[in-house]
Amino acid sequence: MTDPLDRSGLRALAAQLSFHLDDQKAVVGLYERWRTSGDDGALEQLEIWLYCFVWRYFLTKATNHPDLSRVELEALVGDTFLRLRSQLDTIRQTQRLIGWVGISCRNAFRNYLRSVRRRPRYEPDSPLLEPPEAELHLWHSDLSRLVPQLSAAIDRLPPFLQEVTRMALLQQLPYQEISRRLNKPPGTIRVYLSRAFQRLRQDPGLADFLGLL
Amino acid sequence: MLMNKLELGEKILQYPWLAEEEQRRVEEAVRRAPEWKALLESVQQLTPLLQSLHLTTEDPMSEEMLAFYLITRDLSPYPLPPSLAAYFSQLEARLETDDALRRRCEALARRLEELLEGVDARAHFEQLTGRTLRKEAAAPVVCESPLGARADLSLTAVSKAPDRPARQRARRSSWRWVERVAVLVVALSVVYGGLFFWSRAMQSELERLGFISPALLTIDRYRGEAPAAETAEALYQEALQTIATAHSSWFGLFPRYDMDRLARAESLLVAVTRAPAAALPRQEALFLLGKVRLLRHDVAGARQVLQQVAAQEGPYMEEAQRLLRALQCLETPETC
Repeated sequence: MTDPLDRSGLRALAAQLSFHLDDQKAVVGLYERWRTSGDDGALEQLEIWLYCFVWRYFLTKATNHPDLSRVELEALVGDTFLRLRSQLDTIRQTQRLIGWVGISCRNAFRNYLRSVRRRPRYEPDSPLLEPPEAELHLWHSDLSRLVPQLSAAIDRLPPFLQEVTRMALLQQLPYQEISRRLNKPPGTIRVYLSRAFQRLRQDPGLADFLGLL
Repeated sequence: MLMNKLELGEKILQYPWLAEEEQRRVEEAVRRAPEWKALLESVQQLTPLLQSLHLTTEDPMSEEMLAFYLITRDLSPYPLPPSLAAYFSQLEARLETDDALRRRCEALARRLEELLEGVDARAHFEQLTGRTLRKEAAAPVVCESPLGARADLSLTAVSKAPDRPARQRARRSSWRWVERVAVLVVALSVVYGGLFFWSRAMQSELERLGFISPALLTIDRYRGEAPAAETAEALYQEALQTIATAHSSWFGLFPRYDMDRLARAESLLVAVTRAPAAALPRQEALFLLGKVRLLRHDVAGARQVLQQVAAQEGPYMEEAQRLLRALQCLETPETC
């Protein structure tokens, strides 16, 4: 049995990109190249990236929403992709591209959830298809946006801060274990982490998750 | 109870997930050890973000995170960015030891299969954008280390084929250009070939026999200085130029001749053949005269001069004999 990512052609499509889907530096570089040169090859790559990004976002959400059918999912992907594609040249700060795409996906999914709640129910006593909590969840725990953004923000830190931050935030290693693995005294780890967290606090890619937008 | 430095550091890193009472104890401990204040403050500032991660051993791992992992780990043929790879390693370590989590992951994989059933992403993308993407086989992909030892969670049977490095892709990209150029050359050759045969079909048999190769029209300066006006050689050169200007074509296809110029060339060539002491260009002139007359559909006149050429020993004798045989075949096909 082949992998559904293969059967659907999503993997083949992502393979047409010249970089990983989550290589934010490459995506922003491509976007800047397209904005300055109007190069159609760059635009095609950008569209493929956008399409794959949107698919992944909604596919991730759909696993948790059993009422979302495949047809609705494909329509959601298509509509959101087309809307974002038509507005691609409207972003003032190129660095904000990925955040903008992520927030637009979140808003599209929120609108979908609201439309589901407004649908008429054939049985008056049946529960709401999508409780409002699902919308709140989008604000508090939008992991399919947060994880790649946080990972990219850590990769943007100075090299000497990256490893210690990965261990602390992504791998959740105990403080003592971090100190042991990096062969640094606890005081050094403390200073490194303080600096790293302060920098993450200022990273524009994380502003939305920190309530700064 | 006092905490030692390592315990305090540990508690500060767990701060976003601690109960409120425990958080107050940490804050109190930091007041007594102000060197930890900066770290606590920076963690507090990141608290809304860190609380969303659901990575502590106490919290159930979110379904969304598992789905994100299942989709992302193999979606792209390129290695994961370092931090994302570290995050997935953490998830995989838990998946290897947690059977319940593993079962949830397998259920999610089945849901993903249902959602992707019948999806044709390439056709969908092309329909939305109006683009035509290049054909490319979907290579089954497994990311390299550090995720090499990933749990076999079947989003489904994940092939163990090696990853494709970016350099190889760049090489393939350059080959793709070579292939495109080769296809273009073949396509142009086919088109040109078709036009060539069409062009041939448009010509009469006499025009084909009378075709004058450009090589015959090059003016040979082997005799040194330009000849004096009105000499046989000067007339011959003028005849060559006249024939050259009478001919026109489109990239060698659909040749046409200006009949007035051909008539002028014919009279010049006749003058050359009649001039005294014009032995050297005489046979050339007679041969060209035969060709010009064929182009002007003067078969009798062409045969007359070609017979003279065919009767003399010289470079054009055999060609003249061939043309005479071809004319014979045209007039009496049953003899050929």
